Amino acid sequence: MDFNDEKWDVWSRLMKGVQEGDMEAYAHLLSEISPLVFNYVRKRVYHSGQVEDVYQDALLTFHKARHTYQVNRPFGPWLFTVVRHAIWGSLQRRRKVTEKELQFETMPEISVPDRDENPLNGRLLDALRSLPETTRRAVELLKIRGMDVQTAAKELGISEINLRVRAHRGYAKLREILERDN
Amino acid sequence: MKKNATYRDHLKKMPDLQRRMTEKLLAETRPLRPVPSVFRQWLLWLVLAGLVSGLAVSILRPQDGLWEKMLVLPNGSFLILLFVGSALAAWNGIASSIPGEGPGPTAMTWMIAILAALVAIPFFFFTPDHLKAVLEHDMDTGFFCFRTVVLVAIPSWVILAWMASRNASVRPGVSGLWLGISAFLLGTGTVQIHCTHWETTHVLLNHLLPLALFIAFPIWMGSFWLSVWERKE
Repeated sequence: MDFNDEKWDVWSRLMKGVQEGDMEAYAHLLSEISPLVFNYVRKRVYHSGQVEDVYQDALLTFHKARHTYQVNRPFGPWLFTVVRHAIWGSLQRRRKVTEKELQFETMPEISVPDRDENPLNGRLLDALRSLPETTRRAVELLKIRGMDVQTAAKELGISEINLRVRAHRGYAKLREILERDN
Repeated sequence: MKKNATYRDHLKKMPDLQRRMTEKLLAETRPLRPVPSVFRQWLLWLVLAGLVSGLAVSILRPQDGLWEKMLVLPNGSFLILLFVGSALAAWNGIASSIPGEGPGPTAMTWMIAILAALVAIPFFFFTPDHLKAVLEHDMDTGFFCFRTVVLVAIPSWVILAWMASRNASVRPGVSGLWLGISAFLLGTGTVQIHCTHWETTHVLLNHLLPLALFIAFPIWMGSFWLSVWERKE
């Protein structure tokens, strides 16, 4: 990557505006660096389902670290240090969540009644198990464990919007499976 | 109104995911004060570390004939390297807490060379003494030098960590390590000004061992304290 390109100087000046609270400069900067960050994330995250979440984490980390940018220093190395760190941290958090998820799977009997007592619950459980992992986790946290959106999003390390999207997909898929079985 | 329209224009051009994210970040935009440069933060540390060390020396009192001892090459080099090492480690710690600022390979090489020299000088050039005698002396004084190194290092580390916690360390454990090295070397340098024992075992055991023994603490504490910026909402 050529850090001598003129665009880096322009972005550096826009960062000065960002630090001064200029919304236009921030929107301009984000519109230019977002595709760059997205591609950078996509090349480094192998699970395509995680790319969007990691990308969002990368931009959030950029936002939280923006006060540390020195306007007289090159913008490129600063940006990519922050983004690399965000990718690594985001993947680490997701790995921890997956580990917790495995532990949770070993004890579902505690919270879910036996399928023989209520056949619908058994079918629901089967349908739930057939969902993709990320979607199932969102539904489990919101509907089985009864968490609110904010807490569940924090638990999964994703944004609230993302959690709602996942849960919504999960509900639609569950409805589809249950209706098909009927 | 014109400004608002322009910012909306930028949003319109973006794909959906990027637009949503940008809107979220724009909603949280406010003016903020950029952190001072590494050099300015380091200068502030220099003043505060000077105060801590100066206060400790004024309480402990410098040893008699310090100047004559400093003129002996190994002694003078050792004392200077302690303070230079502390300053360099502080620089590295502050730099490592700002994304993209380092420390670079040159600073790392210098730091390793200084630490190696600080262990080698007492080992090869100071007067040899016996471990048993040193331990007996320590029992009598209640490990005075050892304790003092730690007591000076603690406030020095807290000052440095407070400064670095306002930055955004992407490797908080590593930053904690640099700050720990700086703080312990400052403690050792301060004690060395007071302590009249320029002997191998005493210096290694009482002045340098605290750094090796307790360095895990600044790493551990740094990994929490210096990552606080990431947990902020």
